[in-house]
Amino acid sequence: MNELSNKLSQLIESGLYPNIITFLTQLLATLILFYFLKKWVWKPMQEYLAKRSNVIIDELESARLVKEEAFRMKEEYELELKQAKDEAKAIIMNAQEQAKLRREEIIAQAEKEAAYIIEMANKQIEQEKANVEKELKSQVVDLAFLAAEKILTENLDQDKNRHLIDKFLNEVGK
Amino acid sequence: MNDVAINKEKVPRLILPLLLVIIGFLGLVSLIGVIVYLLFDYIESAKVFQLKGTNSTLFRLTPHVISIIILTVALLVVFKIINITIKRSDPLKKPKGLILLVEIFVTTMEKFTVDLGGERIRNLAPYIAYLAVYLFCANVFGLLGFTPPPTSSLSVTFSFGITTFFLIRYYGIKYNGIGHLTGLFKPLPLTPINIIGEIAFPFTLSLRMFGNILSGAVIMMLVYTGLTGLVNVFISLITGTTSPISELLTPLMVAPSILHIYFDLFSGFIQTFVFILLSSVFISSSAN
Repeated sequence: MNELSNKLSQLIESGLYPNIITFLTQLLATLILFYFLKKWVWKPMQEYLAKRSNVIIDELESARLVKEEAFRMKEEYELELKQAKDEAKAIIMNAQEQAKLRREEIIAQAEKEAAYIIEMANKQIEQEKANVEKELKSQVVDLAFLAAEKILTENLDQDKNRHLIDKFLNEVGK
Repeated sequence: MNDVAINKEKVPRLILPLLLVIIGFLGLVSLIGVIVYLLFDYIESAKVFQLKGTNSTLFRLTPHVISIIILTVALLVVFKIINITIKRSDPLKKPKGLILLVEIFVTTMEKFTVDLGGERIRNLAPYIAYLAVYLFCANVFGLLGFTPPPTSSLSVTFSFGITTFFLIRYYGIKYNGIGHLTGLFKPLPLTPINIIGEIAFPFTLSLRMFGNILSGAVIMMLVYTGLTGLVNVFISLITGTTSPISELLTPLMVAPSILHIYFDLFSGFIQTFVFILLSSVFISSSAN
């Protein structure tokens, strides 16, 4: 029991009574440890973290730039696509219009030609008719002359004349 | 299936270095302890620091000095190892092991400080980190068992209290100039109370931690002595004689380990946390 109280009193005494040596040792230890904690652990760790965060920031920045570039290119391509579509539309419209014009032109020409052909045919028919009539007339005149000649050369009686005329008509009818 | 196989392979690879680190650390501490103890014994027997003709306790060498020196050297070695590890590691790779631990600790301490006091006391973060590391190690130092924990000496805790006190003054004058001093006289009748409050701060801070840790050490000493006596009684009942084995048997019982968990680990952690919280709160309130 005496031993215990001795130990206890020593423990409490050495802790409780102010002691310059302990105090100064602790202050010195604080200075040394603080200095080396800062120099060996704190600053290298901060640099380590800063390096990593810088790398991450760089990566994010470059990713952002790439994304922006991609968006820009997408817009560009969309614009180009739209232009191409418009152009194609315009070309088709133009072609359709031209085709329409051409069709009308062809139809008009064909109608004109047809009219011309019909007119030509009519003219030819008219001419043919005129020719035929002319020939007919001349043939009738020739026939009249021939009949008159026959009548004059064979001056006969009425019966004989009648008979001659019949004969002539028969000849003509042949 | 694959993950399980990988984990099974990884676990032994982690355990072995961890065990080596712990054994190495304990060996280092013991080695330093023995050397310092021999030195201390010599100085004590030669009474180098004893003032001539007095029996003053003011200049006596205490066992706490040994604890401080052991802890300082051990922590310096740990800091250097961390320094080498950081320099060797690649910041772009996934952090692991020691470096992850240090990274978490550093960022947590910085966040803790800045959350409490804003950007103005960001410079203080290494000091707070130092306090956290040193005080926690000092509080659990009793577990190693050769000398009392450094924080069970009032002179040690008072040196932290006075450092924090001067830091409060420094930050107050740096950011508030003369307003820091005139603030003491703000409600004029309360001036003495303000001054006493300011001066009492390092004492309350240091006495709180000192009392807690010393009482823990005292209770552990009582428990060990009591249990040793109890074991002695049992042994003498069985064998009829007392034996020195009882002192070795005592630590194997369950009660001391539970009490160690409470008084050394839990109380040590809580006291450290209270200390750094109060220090940073007071410094930040004087800075802002």
